[in-house]
Amino acid sequence: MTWRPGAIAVARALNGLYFLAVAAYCFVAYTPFVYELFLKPGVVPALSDFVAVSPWLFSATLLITILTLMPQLTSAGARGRAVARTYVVASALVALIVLFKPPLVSIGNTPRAFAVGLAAVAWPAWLATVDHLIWPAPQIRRTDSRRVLVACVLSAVVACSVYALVSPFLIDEISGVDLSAGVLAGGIGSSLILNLYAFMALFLAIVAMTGISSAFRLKASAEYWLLLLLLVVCGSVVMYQLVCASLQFSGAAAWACSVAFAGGTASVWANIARLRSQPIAVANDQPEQGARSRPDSVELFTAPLLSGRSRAAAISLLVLLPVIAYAVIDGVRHFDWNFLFQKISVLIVWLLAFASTYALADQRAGTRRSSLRLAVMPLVALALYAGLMWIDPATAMDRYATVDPSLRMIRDARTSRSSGTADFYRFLGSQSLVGSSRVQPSVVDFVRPLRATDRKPPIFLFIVDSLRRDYLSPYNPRVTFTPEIGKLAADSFVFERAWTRYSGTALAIPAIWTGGMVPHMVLQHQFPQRNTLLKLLEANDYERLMDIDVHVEALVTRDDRMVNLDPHRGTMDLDMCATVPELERRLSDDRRRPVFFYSLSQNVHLAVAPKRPVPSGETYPAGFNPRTASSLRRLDACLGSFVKFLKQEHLYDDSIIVLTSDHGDSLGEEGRWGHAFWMYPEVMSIPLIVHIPSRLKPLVRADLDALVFSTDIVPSFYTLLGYEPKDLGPLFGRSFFTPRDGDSSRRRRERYLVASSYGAVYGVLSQNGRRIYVVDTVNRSEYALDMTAQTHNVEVTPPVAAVNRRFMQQQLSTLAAVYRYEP
Amino acid sequence: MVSETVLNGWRRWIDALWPLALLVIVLATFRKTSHDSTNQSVAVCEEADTSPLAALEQCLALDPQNVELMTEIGDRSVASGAIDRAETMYRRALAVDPRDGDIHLRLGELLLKRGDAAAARTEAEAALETQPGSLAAERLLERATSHRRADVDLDARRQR
Repeated sequence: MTWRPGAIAVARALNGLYFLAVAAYCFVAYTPFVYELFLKPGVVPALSDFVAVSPWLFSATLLITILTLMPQLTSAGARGRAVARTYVVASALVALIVLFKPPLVSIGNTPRAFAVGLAAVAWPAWLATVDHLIWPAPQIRRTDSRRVLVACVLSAVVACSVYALVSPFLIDEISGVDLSAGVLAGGIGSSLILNLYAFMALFLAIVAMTGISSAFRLKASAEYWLLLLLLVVCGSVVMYQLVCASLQFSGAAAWACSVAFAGGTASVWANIARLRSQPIAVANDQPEQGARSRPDSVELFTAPLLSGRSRAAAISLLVLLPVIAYAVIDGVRHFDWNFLFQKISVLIVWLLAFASTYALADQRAGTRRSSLRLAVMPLVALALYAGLMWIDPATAMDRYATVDPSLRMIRDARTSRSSGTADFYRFLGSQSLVGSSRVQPSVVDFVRPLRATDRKPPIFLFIVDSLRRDYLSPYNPRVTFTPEIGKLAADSFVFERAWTRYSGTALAIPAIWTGGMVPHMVLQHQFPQRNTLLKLLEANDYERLMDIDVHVEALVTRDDRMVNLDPHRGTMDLDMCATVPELERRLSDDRRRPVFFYSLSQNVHLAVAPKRPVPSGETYPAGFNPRTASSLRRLDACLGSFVKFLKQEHLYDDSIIVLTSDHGDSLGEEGRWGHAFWMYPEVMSIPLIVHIPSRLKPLVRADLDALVFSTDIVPSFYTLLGYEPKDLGPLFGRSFFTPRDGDSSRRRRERYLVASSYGAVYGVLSQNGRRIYVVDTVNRSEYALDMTAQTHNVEVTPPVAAVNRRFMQQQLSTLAAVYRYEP
Repeated sequence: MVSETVLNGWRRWIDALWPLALLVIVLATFRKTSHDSTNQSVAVCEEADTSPLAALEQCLALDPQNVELMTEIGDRSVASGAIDRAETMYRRALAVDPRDGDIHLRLGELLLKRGDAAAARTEAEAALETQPGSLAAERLLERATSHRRADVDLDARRQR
């Protein structure tokens, strides 16, 4: 059977996609941060599914590849026969090994992941070599620079127009952004100029490549290979600066992965281009075909996307481009990681725009004259850019960037660092995701020696992952779907200004158990000596009824005093409505020991709530995410039933019940989703509702409007149990309950350090939680917010930056000294 | 006389080099116009706790919503006997953050010293709202109430 080159190209695309996906998985698994926080807990089930089916996908891919190579494998003397046979034999052997011992299942976070990733990108590169030996190279002509210029200018217009067209649809799911006519005009104008600037840089790079090829009197095909080299260089930089930076992966290994991945992608690209150009190559063999009919190097380069001569296909692609752009953004924005996927989608849109406009650009030009005149357009773009920077329409750009990812990407790239800033960011980086080997054992105690107390009320610590305070009726009168929590709050202390110390679960949970900030590391090292909550529970012989999630697993010791309530549920499956009945059963069974309960329910997490459809008949006020609100309604009912149970069992009046979250979540505010690196109020501000035994109420006081942290919960338990916890300084929590005649001021008017769990992003909270200053080294930005009334940006000035940076440095150095690690 | 071949050679090199040169300029301009957030010029006071009163007032002018500055100025005004200035500062602070129990207490104490027991009582009640169980607030409330009662008794005696 003879395969058409186009069909083989499709097969090679599938083959390439498979191996690049395997390589991407391996490289991601190689980064400890992603592996421990996302792959191990199974936050993205699709990845687990991919790992499970990958051996079979390998076999299927290989089978298709073998079928496409049959003519070479079976015909004696066929071009590339020997190398094709070698490839097939080696692949078959690997496929057998993979079937019997699937590597992805067990690679974990080991150097093997790195090695398998490199092997995975080598495989399509090998196949590309095979195909390049089998299929003849098409004859190509030199590229006309004017055509490239026209295509680049048109591409800038197309890219800007595509996002302008989809912006009305995108704005619907974004809150907190007012796109007035003026802002829209300013934003679109800025976007056009910045896109033009970016495409002029591309034009100059391409023309430089073709110029170098011509200056050295190389063949036209050299232009094409130089363009592929440009793809590898640009791809590597994008991988490192965009992808690896977002995954906190840096250094030589990250560069190696970036270059390998970009090289693998370029080899697949070159292979498809070679196969797609075969009809042209065949036509070139016809003597009547002249040089004019040959493709130029850019046409060959864009062949994987479009046949260079098909105007109809190019027009169709241009028409479809807004739909593609919208579909991609809509598909990824809910779980976008630091806008990473949206930015990658911009690169795809740019590539498609360039391929289409290049196909449509004038093809008649052929003679190569001096190209100096072509410098006019880049100079115009330069002048426009300089003018834009002089006008500096920051507000319009910032607001419009929420619906135009291309503008966002260029704007975010527009950050440079002075040497002082670079040094400071390096310092923050050195303090983040610290390796466990660098941390020495250390001890944290609020009370020493810790002896048993007479006061041992049942303690119920309900932590709801990603629960926002403004989705609860005690904090927001517009909320109608949490009546039970409202009832609980009416009988409890409702802290108005509760903040998390960390904007991600991985550090927020250890920080709660410690009662203070913890070393910035993926897995907490030597934790029991710092686990002040566990010490309190053990000293008082509490029975621990717990949901064991992936975060708390390493924090607590498993002994006869611990009961895992949901042993068969994974972290992302922890559901309060399933936990509560089991908890009630346990409470009914045995009450000899005092009881402590802990759970980290995932009901409203962004990886869980969107999968649960809103039951028919349920409606929610405007401004609330219906799926999150619906999940919360269900959770509220379950919590309500538990409170009812406690009342029936006469336990309620004697219990400490805490309802809080590890952090909040962005649900479309200014286009943000999730909580990766954000330090905005919707992420950092948390609900904190504390019910205490009625007999303790007359003995304590609390300032409900004072800034409190989730790290204050454990010291408060100490106080409620009758201890006097020591003040361990600003990095640690302090009880939000004090004896009635205690210090009159409980306000935190000083500065406090807060951090992201996932990277070198730190904040300084000041003025009793009214102001936050954030240094985000991932996006290379610094911002300050005032939350007095409506949250708004405060200008970042040199004195403000200097004061806050100095404070961060000081606090992080203190933290390193406390936990004895060398940055 | 320069031959055509040499000219063509030059032309080829010019064609190769100008895009490179312009590309460098484009990228350098992009980098140069990028913002480093610390390179702006307007100053805002952030380390005012230890500054003299005049400096604090200047800082407050630059950061007019800063409750901590207002409180600090209020406290220092009380210490120096500038009661009116202190009251203005506390009231301004409460306009920004009406739920600051500490400032309600400070203002209440100040008002009671001035003899305005009814207003002091209101402040004590406001403090108790955000600081349930606060003994300091309860004591202020008690003193304000008894002071008021004494005032009322005094008025009644005078009328008699």
